[in-house]
Amino acid sequence: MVYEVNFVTVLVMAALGAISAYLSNQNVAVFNDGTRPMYGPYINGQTDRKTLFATSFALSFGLVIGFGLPTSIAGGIIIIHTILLACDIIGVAFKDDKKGMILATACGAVFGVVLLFGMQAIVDVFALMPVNFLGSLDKVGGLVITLFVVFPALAVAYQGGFVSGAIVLGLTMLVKQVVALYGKFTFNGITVALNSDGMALLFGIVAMVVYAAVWGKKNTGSASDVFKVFEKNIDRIKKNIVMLAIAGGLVAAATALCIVAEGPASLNLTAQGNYGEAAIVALGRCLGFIPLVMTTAIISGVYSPCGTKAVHIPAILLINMGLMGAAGSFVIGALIMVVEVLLLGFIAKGMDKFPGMKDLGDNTRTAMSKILDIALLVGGMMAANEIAPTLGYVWVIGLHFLNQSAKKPIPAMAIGPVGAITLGILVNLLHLIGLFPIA
Amino acid sequence: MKIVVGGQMDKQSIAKLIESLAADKVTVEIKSDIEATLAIQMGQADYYVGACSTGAGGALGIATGLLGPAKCVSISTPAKTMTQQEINDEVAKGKVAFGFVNYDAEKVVPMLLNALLNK
Repeated sequence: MVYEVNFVTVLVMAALGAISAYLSNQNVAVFNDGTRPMYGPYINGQTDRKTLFATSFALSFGLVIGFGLPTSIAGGIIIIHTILLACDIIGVAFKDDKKGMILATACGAVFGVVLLFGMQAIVDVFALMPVNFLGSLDKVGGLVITLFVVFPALAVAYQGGFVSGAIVLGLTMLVKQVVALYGKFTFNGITVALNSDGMALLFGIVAMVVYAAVWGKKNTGSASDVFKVFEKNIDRIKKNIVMLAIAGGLVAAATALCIVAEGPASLNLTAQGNYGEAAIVALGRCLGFIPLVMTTAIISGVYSPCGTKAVHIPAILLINMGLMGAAGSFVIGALIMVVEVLLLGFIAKGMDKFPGMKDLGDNTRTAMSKILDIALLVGGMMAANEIAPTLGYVWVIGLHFLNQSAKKPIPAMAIGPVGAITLGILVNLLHLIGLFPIA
Repeated sequence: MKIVVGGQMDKQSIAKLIESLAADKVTVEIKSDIEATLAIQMGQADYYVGACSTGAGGALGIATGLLGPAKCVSISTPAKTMTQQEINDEVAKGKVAFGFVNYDAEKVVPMLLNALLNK
């Protein structure tokens, strides 16, 4: 794994697990955007704790096992879904009375620490196997940055059609090529090389936001009327602003310590040391999630332990600054959460003024997941091919299509990591029976 | 019958899928999740469908909040995809808003249309 297991990381993971389980237990914040709306009826007494737990479990457990764990193992950093979705479930598994709160908080802390050691232990076990495939796993995320520059063009195409999308794609490619050719400056004897992927991505995101703001749908006037009904929910979230700020701070600190990452794309970029690009990717994802997180928060009165995911962005830039970086990102993360919570009502009304921005959120998330599916699938194929050239492509493509007809399919995004890891284990089994000799 | 496609992912392709399956019996409109839910509330549309990666959050979040959980159901989640019979039962119970995982659209939308049209 990329992170070190030491006193600080253990402490941060224990605290992160504890607070996220506490927030879920006390009905203050959950990470799964699908679970959040179900808390509204629970708080109003329309559903019971058992139903809430069943929903939370159904929506989160599969993602922890099928997506969180394999993505984390393949990438070397824990994807934040793994800990926060699990703590969603842990929190709601206990009653929201005082005893339940203490138990949930304690279990969350234990889970955080177990996860930290457990990930490292799994990787250590893999390293002991006769056919070592760990070195190939980083191929899984190898294409992410190259392909991710496409997503803004795709989001614009969803919003404005083929021609608009094609123009943004063409300009993105132009920016990339020009930066690759001329993006090197010598300044007082120091050479600064601009990263063409990062610049192209930044251009794409700006183009996408400008497009949504200028050419997006105009005022429809419905959202602020709708949200007026939910004023008391916004007040409920504001009441818990201190605990939410601590949670946001801890998420940021864990990000700066390279223990957790906000999404599969920035995870792989961070693992490869491309922090600038990782931060740009996190910014793009944050833009996509703002409407989703904030609208579900307003209708339910329940927020997210990492807010709109904005807390990750400065934290990624503070990686490699040691303890000071972690402490600094804690403070910045906490402040971001405070600002987000205070702005909840304002942003809800803002979405009414610029409905194009809400569309942008929907389209951004669709576009990013489409690109990531392909990037991680092809990356998984490349990793698998490196592990076993005779079997790799067949195995991953086979899994991809078999998964589609499975009763309980895992997320398409997880096929690449799952395929590469399972093939690594498979060739070790084949090695044991003499079918996979090591050259 | 009028169906609105609300939150939040793959809206364009889901609208196309519905049209390709039942263009003669159903009209489809793509809206934001808020507008789509309001259309149901005001009786301008009969059913709401929406997709996202969990089948519940982006897909049904606003609908659950505004219409209440009794009117909404996730017909697929990362853990489970409903069968035709289960979807029929949900429709019979009076659900009007349906959420599903975006990857399951091709599996569940035909079953859902089947259930709605044969109600």
